[in-house]
Amino acid sequence: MRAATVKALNLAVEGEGNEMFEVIRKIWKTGVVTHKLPLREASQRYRGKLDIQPHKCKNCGACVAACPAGAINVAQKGQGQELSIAYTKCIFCGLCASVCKVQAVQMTNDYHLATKNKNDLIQVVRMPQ
Amino acid sequence: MLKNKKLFLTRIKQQLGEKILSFTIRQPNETEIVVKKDQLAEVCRFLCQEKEGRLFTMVGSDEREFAGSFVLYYVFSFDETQQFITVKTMTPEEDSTFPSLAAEFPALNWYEREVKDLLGLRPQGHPDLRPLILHGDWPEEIHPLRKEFDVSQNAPRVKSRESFMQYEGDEVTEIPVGPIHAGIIEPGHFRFGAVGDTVLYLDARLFFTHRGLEKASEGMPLSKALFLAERICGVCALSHAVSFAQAVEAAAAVEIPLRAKYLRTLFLELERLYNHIGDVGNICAGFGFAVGVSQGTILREELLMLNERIAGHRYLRGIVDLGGVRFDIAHPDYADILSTLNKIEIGFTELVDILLSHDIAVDRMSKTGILTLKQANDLEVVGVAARASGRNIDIRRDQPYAAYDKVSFTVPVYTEGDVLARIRVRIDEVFQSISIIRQIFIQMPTGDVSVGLPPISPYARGMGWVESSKGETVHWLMTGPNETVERYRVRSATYSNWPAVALAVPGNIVPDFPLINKSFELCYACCDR
Repeated sequence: MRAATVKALNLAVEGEGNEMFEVIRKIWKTGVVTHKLPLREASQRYRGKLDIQPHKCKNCGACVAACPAGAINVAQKGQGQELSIAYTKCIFCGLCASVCKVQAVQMTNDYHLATKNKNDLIQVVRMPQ
Repeated sequence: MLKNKKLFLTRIKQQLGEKILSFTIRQPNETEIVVKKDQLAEVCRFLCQEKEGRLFTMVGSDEREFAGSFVLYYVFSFDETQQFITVKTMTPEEDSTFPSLAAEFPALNWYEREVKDLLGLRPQGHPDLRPLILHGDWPEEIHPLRKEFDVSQNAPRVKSRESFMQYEGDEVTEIPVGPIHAGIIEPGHFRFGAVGDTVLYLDARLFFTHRGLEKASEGMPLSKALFLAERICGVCALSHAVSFAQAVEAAAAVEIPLRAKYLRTLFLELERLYNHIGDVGNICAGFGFAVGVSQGTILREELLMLNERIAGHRYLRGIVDLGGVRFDIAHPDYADILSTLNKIEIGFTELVDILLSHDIAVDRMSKTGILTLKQANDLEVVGVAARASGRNIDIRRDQPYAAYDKVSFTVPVYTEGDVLARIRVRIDEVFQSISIIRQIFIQMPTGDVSVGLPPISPYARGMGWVESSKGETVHWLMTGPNETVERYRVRSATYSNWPAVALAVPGNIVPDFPLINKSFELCYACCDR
């Protein structure tokens, strides 16, 4: 180990060890690659928050049954019904969107989930009667 | 080949003669041999030593409800004839013991201790019966994989039975490390016995992230258990998902469309690429070579962003479906993948040139953490670590799945068994993966990407395997009524390789441990489940 270090240093001093120059050249060539905030939009295929269009919904319950994490719930609220999605549980697999025959549930590429209040992560949609 | 297989099986049947109770060909590539407990050792010895089979996985299962006893399955792989032989033996509840083979086959050490912890079957004659999966403070008489154990049950904690190697004399210093480490890594407790700077012995305590996933999956519909499988580990997410899907497809006896096979191969190689390139960069952190770390990270990030563009998920989750894949890709994606790979290839070649021509880096890596071929064979080590020690196995070539039988690639094998050899295997495999992906785009057939599964009968069995970036991952599945999971056993590459780390470290200096550990690059979550 020590022998190799001495050898490398010697070579660098004598100008024969171009390995250090290679490293410096690589750093120079790379430059800064970090992206600055705000980040760009996520890719189109990214599975983020759900977009629910209540007027299309036929209340078949397919999405509730398909959800592997039990994140989607339907509750009776007064005369109508409320569909709630808990992003605290959602695994963003996209099964709900793929089983919905009328495309009332669709995935969007919105990935902004950071919040200081957990309740912000429960999306409630009121269904028309 | 077909004739060879037949001959191979007939010979085994004849040679075992009356030692076995039954001999059934269950699937074209799987044969089941039922033996009595007292013949187990002899049959396993015959298969391993005379027929050169290697232990693939071992499963203990509580089948008292429908078969009247506990059942143990020992699966051996015969790579030359591409066959699996399952040795099955029953053990009734009244006599809940089985003969231990760990002294003869060290690879069985962990499997037998796991069966003891989780099912309460006692391996008779096992040299080391310390608790493995359940840490010492778990009550000895509660066994989570027995059917009467309720998942919602809270086990009381008892006084810990944990014990570590005891040293005599003043020369040995004990250095405990973890389970909480500096930096973002998973939990594991390592206890070195060191003489001066040199490690004498390493005690590794794992299974801090045991989440009981196998128990949690019991009774779960197969379609939902797929998502559980996908979440066993972060960086092998796709390997686990494909293994599980293959196990279900084997149980359903269904062939997936050719295009789906190619797509799975493509994504599996993308997973290998980002892991291997990240690992080559990360290894530089083991000797403080910051340029290597950042260059590796830059390339890995490029690949993760590619994954997100193509599949919608950086770690390739949500792609696999039971019976195929969930979405198709089109020509703009082909171009995106190929152009990104061209960039990666150039960048990675530069990184490798810098790393391997750096005297100090090479000096730190060579002859460090040597795992001998004998050790690798005895412990049935798999993956990169096996190939770096001269153990020539790669399940992609030996028991092809997905479209690996249609693409050509070479399997790099080195014999030194040190950190440098493990890095070299990864480097070679990166170029092989890029070549495989290019071949996939030349050959890509058209057609459907998934097929519906027929109803699966209860108590059907299936096995799925994938060569993940760490090594072969095996999922063993038995279905229950109404297409649910009855018993699910995950044997990841890390489960096979962790015991080898404890053998590779002694004799090295303490500061080389992180380097050796990184060169194996084992995940804890995969192993602990």
